[in-house]
Amino acid sequence: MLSGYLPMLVMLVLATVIAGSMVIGSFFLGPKKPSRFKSESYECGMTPVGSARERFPIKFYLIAMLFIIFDIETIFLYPWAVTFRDSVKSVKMFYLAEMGVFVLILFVGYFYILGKGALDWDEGREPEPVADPSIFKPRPPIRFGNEYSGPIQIASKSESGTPATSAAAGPGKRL
Amino acid sequence: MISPSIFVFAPLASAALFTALMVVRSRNVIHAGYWLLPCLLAVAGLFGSLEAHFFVVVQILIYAGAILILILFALMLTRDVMDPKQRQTTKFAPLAVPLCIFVGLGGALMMARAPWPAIQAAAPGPAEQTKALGLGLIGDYALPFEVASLILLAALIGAICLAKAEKEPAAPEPVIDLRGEIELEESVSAGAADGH
Amino acid sequence: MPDKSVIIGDMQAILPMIVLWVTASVIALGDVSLWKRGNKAINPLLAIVGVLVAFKFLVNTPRVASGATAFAKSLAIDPLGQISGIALLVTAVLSILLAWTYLKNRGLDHAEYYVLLLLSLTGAMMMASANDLIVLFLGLEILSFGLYVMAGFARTEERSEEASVKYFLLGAFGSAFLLYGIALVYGATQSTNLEQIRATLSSSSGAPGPMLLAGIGLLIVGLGFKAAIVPFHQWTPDVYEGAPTAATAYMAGAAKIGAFAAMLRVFGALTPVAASWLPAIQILAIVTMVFGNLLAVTQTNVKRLLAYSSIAHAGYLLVAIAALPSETVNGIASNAPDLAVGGALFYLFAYVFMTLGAFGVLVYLSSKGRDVQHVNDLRGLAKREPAAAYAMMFFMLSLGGIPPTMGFMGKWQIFYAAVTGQQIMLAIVMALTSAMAVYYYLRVVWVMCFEETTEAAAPEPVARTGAMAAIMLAAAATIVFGIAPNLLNAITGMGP
Repeated sequence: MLSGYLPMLVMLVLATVIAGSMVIGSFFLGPKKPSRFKSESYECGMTPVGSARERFPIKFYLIAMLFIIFDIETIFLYPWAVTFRDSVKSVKMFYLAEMGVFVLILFVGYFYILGKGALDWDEGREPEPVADPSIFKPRPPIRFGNEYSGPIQIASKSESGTPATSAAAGPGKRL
Repeated sequence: MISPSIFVFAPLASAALFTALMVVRSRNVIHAGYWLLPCLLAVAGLFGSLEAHFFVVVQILIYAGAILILILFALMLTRDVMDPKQRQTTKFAPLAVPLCIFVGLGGALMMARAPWPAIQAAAPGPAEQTKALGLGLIGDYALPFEVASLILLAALIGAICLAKAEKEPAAPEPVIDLRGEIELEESVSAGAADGH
Repeated sequence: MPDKSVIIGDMQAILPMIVLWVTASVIALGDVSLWKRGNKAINPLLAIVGVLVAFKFLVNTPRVASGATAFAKSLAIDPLGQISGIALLVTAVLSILLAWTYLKNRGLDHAEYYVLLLLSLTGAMMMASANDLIVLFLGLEILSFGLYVMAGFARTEERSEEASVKYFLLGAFGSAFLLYGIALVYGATQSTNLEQIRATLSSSSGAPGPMLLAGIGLLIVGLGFKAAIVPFHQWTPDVYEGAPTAATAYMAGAAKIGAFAAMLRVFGALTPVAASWLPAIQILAIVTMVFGNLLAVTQTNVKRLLAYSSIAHAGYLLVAIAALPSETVNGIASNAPDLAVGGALFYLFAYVFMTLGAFGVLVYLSSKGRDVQHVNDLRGLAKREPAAAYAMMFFMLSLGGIPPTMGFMGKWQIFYAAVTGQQIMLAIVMALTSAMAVYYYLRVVWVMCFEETTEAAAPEPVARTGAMAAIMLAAAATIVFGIAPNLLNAITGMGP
């Protein structure tokens, strides 16, 4: 009944075993010279500790929504393509026309979002001219509620890190 | 008589039920979102056990692959929609248990007792099924097929309409959960307002 | 591959919908390219032209008695679909005129509104002539998608957002119920085709099985959500109140026509098992009529009042559906089903004219800073804006079912169908609740005519031509078709 899925199951098991053995093997066999800096999640500026629930621009969400819509369109293409391949020549044009209409309807949407600039990342972000220069006064340092209590201790013999990176990870850095 | 398919169905169905229960029981919305993944995969497995091969792919590709990501995105966009410390049930919650059991068991009994037509032939293989589905889409169900595209178009335009700002006003700072941010923003906007 | 003549026939059947889709696409694409920075008045103009062209095609289609289908029987070509299509197009013309005024005055003038309106109109027409439950569901979804977004079109207003979210969540629930119902009916009859379902049901003997019953129940719930029938009506007042008034007007018209056309079709197909669903429809009709009218009495917000009034009207329309299965009365063939369909269609026309007209008056009075919705906003209107006030009076009288308006004629036709179909109880409840409804409709008239205005003169709205045109059209229709109902039948090709 499900014999068709057996290769997938084998693949799944193999992938799990291989990937798992790599992780476990390196855990046991690899040399370890731990340092504070190396155990940070990101080495380049992101504050590694803080709320995981940061808000981010809604544009990501918009792109994700658009992706789903075209993803669903692709799913419809799939059975059609199988049928199209095996159909006799006399009906191929007709089948193509039907799929053409289907794609055309969505293409309208595609050109609409292109024209609307929904796919432009930085559209509409021209800063407004500001008359009051006091807005440019240096901002007070902004503190996270939960940053490190002190500067990061860099190991005396850091192999990869440069002082610039460590400064970037310090408190007061904006994202 | 117990058919061997029960050994495939039972674990998949109980996994789907259990994970679905965890989705609604989780106090943390992110956890609920992640519980959805095994739930959707278990349903894909159920489709597989019914030999609906195309729908296994659809379920994994669309639901687990795309819609779940969208749901997680939405959960990350919102904050404090669900306080893990707060009670999430109303006083009617105890009523829900017998109601769910009644509806669930009633539905199951109804399905089990319904006079189903006898299975005429073994289900065709995946390739034939997909081909038959394609033939249906361009044959008898041509109208629903094209109309589905129209739905996607309406959804597309509606999504843009609701989610996209006409002109994003005053280049929003990447808003971070920072202390003192609010006062700062207020002073800035007050300054901008004075300037005009 | 189907025959060439078949393809041409299929295309002719959906020609009005194709026109609407093309118009929507042209507006969507043009707005982001050709007239991106130009005059936005071109959008409503194009929309109206598109609807009128579709109207022309639809009216010109020869009326086939019944039985003709297109697209492998998934679409019916019959008077029910064509006439409710005409009603939908009328709704669209009126609501585009209203939107033109309203969106401009409230600073919401975006092309997307018209695009979504036309797309959802396409869906509603699809739904009205669906001969297959799948097509019906897809049409309903297109209709709903458009309405969800239109309800939240005033994005900066919390009320509008709330309306959109509420409508979306409950609408999604309703759709899920409907889909489950379709699945169960398919399980019981092995078909989603309404014609086929009817044939299967009439050939099978014995009581319907539990799966069919559950399926029918879920269909009633799903369609009841969309048509705002008590007890599935809770979303209606909030959504009607929160949505931009022009969107409310369109929603009130299009959703109701689509839902009831679909109901007439579905329950028409389920006639062979009428004994199982008729009691449910009867109870729902009574509950809807009674509660819709009772709850409307206490409303002080005109939009909420009209929302409850629309619930009550859904109850009257349910009476027509209850008369649908009376194909034979005391063993003699009866024309009650035809009367019920004709009455329901006439009533839908009347409902569209009077409800959209009443919302139109609210639109007409609204300006940028002032969204007229409260009864008190209408105080002394007869002195300030006599034209709008008298039009509103006609709409209120018509909604109350007072002759010689269209509302009376519509109620009379449904009443007559109910009596012919031996639904005496429903007919009595309908008459009583209609009498009760007169109270709250007349209160609006009283406030307009006999109370003094208390507020300072509001700033003049920027544009009001569109709304005025819509109000006048609706008022004229309410009167003319009320006096000469046969005229409407002649125009739409309705009736024998």
